[in-house]
Amino acid sequence: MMRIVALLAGFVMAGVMLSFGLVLAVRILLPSWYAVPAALLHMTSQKVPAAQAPAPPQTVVQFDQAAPTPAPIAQSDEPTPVTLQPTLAAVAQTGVATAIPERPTAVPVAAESSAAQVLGSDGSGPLLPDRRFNVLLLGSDNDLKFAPTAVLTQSMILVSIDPSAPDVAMISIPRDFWVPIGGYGYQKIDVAYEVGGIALARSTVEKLFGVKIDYYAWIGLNGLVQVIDTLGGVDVNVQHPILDEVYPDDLNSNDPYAFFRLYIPAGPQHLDGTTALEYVRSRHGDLQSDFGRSARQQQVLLAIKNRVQTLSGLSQAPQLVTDLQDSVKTDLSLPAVLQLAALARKVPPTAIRLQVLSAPDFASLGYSPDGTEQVVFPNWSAIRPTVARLLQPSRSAVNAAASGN
Amino acid sequence: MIKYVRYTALAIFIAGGLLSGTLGLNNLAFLAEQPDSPAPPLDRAATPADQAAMPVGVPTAAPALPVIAGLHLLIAPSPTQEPPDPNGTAWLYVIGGNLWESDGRSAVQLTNDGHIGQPTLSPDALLFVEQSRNASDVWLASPDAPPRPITRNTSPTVSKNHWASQPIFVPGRQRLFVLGDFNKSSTGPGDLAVWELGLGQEPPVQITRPPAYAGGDQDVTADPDDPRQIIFTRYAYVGTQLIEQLEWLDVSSDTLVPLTATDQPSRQASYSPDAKHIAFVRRGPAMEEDLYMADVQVANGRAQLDNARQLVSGVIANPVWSPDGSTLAYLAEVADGFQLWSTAFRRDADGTESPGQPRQITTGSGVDATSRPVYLTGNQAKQVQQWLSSPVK
Repeated sequence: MMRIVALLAGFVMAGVMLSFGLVLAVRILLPSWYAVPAALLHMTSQKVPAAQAPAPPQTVVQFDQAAPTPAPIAQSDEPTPVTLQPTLAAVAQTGVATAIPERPTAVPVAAESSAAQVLGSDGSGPLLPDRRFNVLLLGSDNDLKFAPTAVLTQSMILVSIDPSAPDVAMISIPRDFWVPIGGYGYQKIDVAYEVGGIALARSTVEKLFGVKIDYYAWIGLNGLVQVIDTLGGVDVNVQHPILDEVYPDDLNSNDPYAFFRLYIPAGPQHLDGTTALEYVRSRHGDLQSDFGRSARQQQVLLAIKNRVQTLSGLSQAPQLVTDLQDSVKTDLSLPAVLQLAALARKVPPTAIRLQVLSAPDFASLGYSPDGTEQVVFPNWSAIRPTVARLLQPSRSAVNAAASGN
Repeated sequence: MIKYVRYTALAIFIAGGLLSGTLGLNNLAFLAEQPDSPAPPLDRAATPADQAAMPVGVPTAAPALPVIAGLHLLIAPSPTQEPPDPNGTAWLYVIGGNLWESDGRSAVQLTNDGHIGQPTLSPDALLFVEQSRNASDVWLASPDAPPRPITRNTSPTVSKNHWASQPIFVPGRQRLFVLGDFNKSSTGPGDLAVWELGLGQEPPVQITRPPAYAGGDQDVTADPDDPRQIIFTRYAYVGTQLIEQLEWLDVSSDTLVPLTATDQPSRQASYSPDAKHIAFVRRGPAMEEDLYMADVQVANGRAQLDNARQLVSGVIANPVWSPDGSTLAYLAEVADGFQLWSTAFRRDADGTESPGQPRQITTGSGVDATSRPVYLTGNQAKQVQQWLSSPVK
């Protein structure tokens, strides 16, 4: 009897040993994997955290005292109106469009053909030129629906910068523009990056618009969130309520086709990275569809520029570079990026011109020749002179140069 | 000999089991650690070590933490906080999805849900909104009952969720106006309308009918003297042009009158307590969002705005009047987000009023500019804390 009990006890203890030995081994050998059960244990505990999100510090100014932090408050008893410094991003007015469904990804996949330099690989590199230069900004929904090396460009913005003025023009190119793409016939312009990487996207824009693209920068979904969160969020004046019944829930679920309901009220507000991404990415429930989305993208870019403007000494730059290692591709060197950021601080809002190439002025809506896709036909006779005008110095920049400022 | 070998083997087996079991228990203790949990359990007062590990601004003791249906309410004034002056002025506002109160000397966090906003007050109750991933609900806190949701908009089917947002009490009645999409077939899936709700189980009544695909209506404010007359912001397109306009609606006669011109984008109106004026925000030529006030005149069943004048220039949001109409509080953008400001009116010898110098009320973390601030007396501030501290059922 004793032997049986002793044997049973031995087996039980051996089982315990085996179980915890395994856990111990996993803990030592695979520390990151080991974190999963710990997290699960935490989630299933019945304790309630005191603050689910860390509560922000909040101090209060004595009602009869001046604010202890710098604030652009009017200091005199001059008659009204009093001016508080506005920094909110403006937004361009855009044309109207009917809803255009998401395009299926049936185009052949090509490898990235550009020797893209990941931002921040080293601290050296060429600076920006003194002359006007053009940057092609590309944004992609690089979620689970697409192979990482073959994503469409949901956003294409041609930014032209004259550092001497300074003067900036931002031209949003509709993703559904039906254009010739070298080697692939007529396609939507968002396909160029998918099938030929940055080289084909760049050459397509150069040929169509008759401009030289000096630099490019591509950013994915998480990259945008990281940029904005690193900057501490952005202040945006949401132009109208955003209600999207089917906003993609592809960043927080394993189902690439999951969706959730999005609501962002209109009016000035501070957006964190995730909300800002939702604001620029949503296209449903907006009468202007992709054109409206393009205008929102420009608006958030300006908000980022404004945010950079308020940062002291670009102290977040190293963090930003670290954050962007896996989320941004560009051929700008790190010194050039810092130069751009410094330049952004100098450009007054009046020297920034925004243009969305929207219908009906710059495009018309229709179907691809095979009738399978809703597309946007560019009106080149209207687009080319407009682009040429935007790439000239603005009147305010000319006036500023003439006055010696 | 064989017998000794068996006993020895058994002894080694048991000893090994005991040893490994001890190791396993140690491992279990490691598993039970929660290094990413900074907060102590809330059924006891925090120790100094707990307090040191907690984020700034989080109250350190929470004797009763009501938790139900995903809502975590927390009332925990700092033990060192001075009691509010019963006749003083305080404000209720939102930071990071939580309600905060300030009496101008110190601030206290009232909730820690992280998804709460848009508070509004009547003499005997508080409304606020809790937003979840696909829906939002209006909650009521009052002395009569624990905080409770008065809408139930959440559904496991995403498309069957609804929004309830920006509630206000109908002056003098146990009813409220709220933005909602309670019947998506009547509002379209992409737009919110103004609805009227009771505090009981009666079905909501749709008040406005916004044009489709412009985002809907928002910012409703009700005439304190005649709550059947409301002003709200309407978003619409004329051709390709987005229009943002203040509209006046007589709910009884269904008379709708635009109050502002289409080329002067205006929003977020707030009736003064005497119903003679509204404060609102209008976009300026340099894309700033300026604070304005105007006189409201109603004649022959139609309203119009007169004498619109700019009070403050900047990026302003959600102005509200103090109960005596002497001061406006609003959110204004500063270098790092939005903060609560106020402007008092000076009455000159000839009886005319002019706004004084704006004063910044809060600093620190940005205040939610999409939630209207709420004026409180010291007594109301205390009441709100009490209403929210009742256990949720």
